[in-house]
Amino acid sequence: MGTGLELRGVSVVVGGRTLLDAVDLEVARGGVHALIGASGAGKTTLLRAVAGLTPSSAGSIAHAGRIFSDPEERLPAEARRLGFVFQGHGLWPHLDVRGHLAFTLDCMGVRGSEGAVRIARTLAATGLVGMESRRPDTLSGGERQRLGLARAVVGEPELLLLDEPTASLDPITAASIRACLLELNRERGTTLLLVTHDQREAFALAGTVSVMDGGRVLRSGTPASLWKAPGDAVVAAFLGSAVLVPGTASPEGSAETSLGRIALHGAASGTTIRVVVRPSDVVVDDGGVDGVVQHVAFREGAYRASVTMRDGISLFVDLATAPALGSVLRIRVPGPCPSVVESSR
Amino acid sequence: MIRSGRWTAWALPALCLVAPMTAIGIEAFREGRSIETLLDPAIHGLLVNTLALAALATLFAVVVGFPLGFAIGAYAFPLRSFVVAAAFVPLLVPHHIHTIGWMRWIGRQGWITTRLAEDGIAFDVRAAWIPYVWPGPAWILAMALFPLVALPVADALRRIDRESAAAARIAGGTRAALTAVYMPAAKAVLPGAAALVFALAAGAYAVPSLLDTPVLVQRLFFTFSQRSQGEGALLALPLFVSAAVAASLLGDPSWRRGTLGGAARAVRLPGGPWMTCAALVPVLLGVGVPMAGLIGKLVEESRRTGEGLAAFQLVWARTAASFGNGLLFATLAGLVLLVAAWPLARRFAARPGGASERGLTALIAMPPVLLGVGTILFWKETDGVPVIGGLYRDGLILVVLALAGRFLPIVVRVLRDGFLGLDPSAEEAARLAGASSAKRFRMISLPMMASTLGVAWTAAMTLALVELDTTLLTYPPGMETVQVRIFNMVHYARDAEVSALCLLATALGLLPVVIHALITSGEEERHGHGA
Repeated sequence: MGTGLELRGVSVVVGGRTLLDAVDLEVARGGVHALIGASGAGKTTLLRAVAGLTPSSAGSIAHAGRIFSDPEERLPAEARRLGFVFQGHGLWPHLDVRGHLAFTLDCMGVRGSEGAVRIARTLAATGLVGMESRRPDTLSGGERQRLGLARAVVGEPELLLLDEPTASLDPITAASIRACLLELNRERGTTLLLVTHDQREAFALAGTVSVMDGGRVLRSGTPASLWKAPGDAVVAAFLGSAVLVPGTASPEGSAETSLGRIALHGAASGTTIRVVVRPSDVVVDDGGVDGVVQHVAFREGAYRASVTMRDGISLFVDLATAPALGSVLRIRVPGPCPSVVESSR
Repeated sequence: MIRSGRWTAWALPALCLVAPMTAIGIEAFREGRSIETLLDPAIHGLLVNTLALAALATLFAVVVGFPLGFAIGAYAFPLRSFVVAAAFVPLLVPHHIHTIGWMRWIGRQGWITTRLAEDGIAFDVRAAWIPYVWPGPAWILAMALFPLVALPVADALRRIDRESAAAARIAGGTRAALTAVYMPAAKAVLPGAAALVFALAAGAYAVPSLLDTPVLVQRLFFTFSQRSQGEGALLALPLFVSAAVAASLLGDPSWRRGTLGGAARAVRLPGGPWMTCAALVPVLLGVGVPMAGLIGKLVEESRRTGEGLAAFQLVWARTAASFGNGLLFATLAGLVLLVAAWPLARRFAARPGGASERGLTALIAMPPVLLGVGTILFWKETDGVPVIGGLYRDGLILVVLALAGRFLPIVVRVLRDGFLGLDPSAEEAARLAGASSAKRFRMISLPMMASTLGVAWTAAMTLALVELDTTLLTYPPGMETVQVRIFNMVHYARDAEVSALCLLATALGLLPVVIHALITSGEEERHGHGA
């Protein structure tokens, strides 16, 4: 993989508010990278800064060797030649499906038979064949999302930015959009940078993921590396239904906690730590600590119980059968679990 | 999109609005004139008359308009759409035509006045009942302006969130919904709407002029046009101040708010046929009575003389050129308005509710006579300047700029709402596709704003076609509009001819609305109803 998207110290300040704070990010050419984080974390701002829709106040952005912006110059959005899928679609109500694609190609100087071929190919790739003459107000939510995607990719950009591409879609439509994206990435080698608040979607789509909070990138890595070593309490809390259990690390790679001794992934980076305990790490075992079942919900083939321990910590545990509310379960966390130091944020 | 710099966007408003107002201020104190002139008891009396007339007109307008607005905003009833459309019409009929129509009923030779006289009851619509209280002119002004109360109230009720209304109904029934949700929403817009009616009534010229009501604006007009422009400018100052005070009270009525979007509209409460009857009363007062007066007089005269509809042919033959002049001015003003309003509306849509937007919107409360006076005073200064001085002497530009200045806040408002209704990422998507700013404007922004531009154009044309007060001061010699013609004919032409001309002029004013309705209904049929 060659040089892809590179952000160095990118900041965005609007009206005195810092929306992005010295962000560094690298996405390999042809890679799929997801930005996840809570609302207001700065994900969409980062995407818009890359697109040139929101000017960056500092730092540099480059893609495939082309400088999008740096302290000396700023390439206008219309000259960056990238695709963008907007969360609100941003469709043109007066144009039909074909008109959307034809206008986009016309702006790039692609007309005639070459344009017709590209339109046909894009319609097929995005599942919009047969809808060429329909206007956006006659399309369903999923079809509009497909049209937004088709418009973004018809120009065959090397970089495609996607802002919550499957938000507000039903699971089946969302899955088909995800499949469409992965196919584009595989067949055309398009670099994808997508924003989502759904950690599971990010892990399903992306080869690398960054977790953002407060306008900063807290952690970047592969889904597996982030899962095993979140490195930050905010990151850990965002990945899965994790509970952070206070503990004291010991030199032999474990931690003493109110739940007993828990084995750790790797060496702890301090003495006073928090152990990241996910439902998959928790077992019901006679040798465990007593906890009271507070709530039970059926979730993806198992009963997820919320169990409150004596010291007030509530853990999640997945069970094959539903426990009675108020019943006592003996809980044990054998590990190994990731650990984090107290977050500075 | 064609980008306009901050100063370019404000150039025309400055020329149409700020420069005239500044010219008034400068002229007022030229040649050693002092503000002490305004302390003259006669001027003081005129000012009190003006404020009392405006207050009474506002009271009448609220009494008539608020229940109507509440009915059409909160209730569903038979013929509701017709009532809503009809509620706009009084705004499209010029004040002088309202007055002439009402005078057919309650004027000196009006049918009601004559009948009362036969019963020994003396009635004079022009008279003050007690000092400073002029109910006749106040009533006619109110009948022309009450939609400015009714429509914002209806709009505020339309914007009520469906779920908050439903929650109130679940908690305590319809009565609870009315008192806890609907009434507070309607009341919230009332001060702003009343302030606007007050300001427009205080600055109205045609009604007090035709009814000989001694108010400040009438004296200003007379002094400026017959005696001394400087003294006229001085008299304009109290009107300017009272309009500014009223404008500052406009608050945040719904017509100044942006499109909220998102929240579902509240379901209207059920209302029966009796509500149709009740809602039609103000509409009949605002449109039916004056129009019936005009038609009745025409019929009466044609029966008496046996001429049939000859009055129409006669006035058309005499005034066709005036219709042409009005159309010419309205078309030019419409073009200027759209060009001037576009960049401002975009700016205001990007940051709604800013100080500059509020300032421009408040100018709608400015008396139109003031704008006419200011326009003349400003352009008079250019008399000696090559080329520009010629524009002043030619006069065509004055009436167009005065009309543009007068209706700019309204057209900006219409376009701003249109921009707020657009998905901002639609234009960003065109930008990312690589479209140049000109191409984005031509291929994306303009088509997306087409329907809003149609509404803005219709509003601009209609308002300019029916305008009298500023045109009366600024029209070029020999190019009087039909509204000016009517105003001048009242005193010497036959009643039937004036009535016929009023009806023709009203039809002309409604013409853009009808054309727009026909075009949009045709488009809807072509495109079907979207999802």
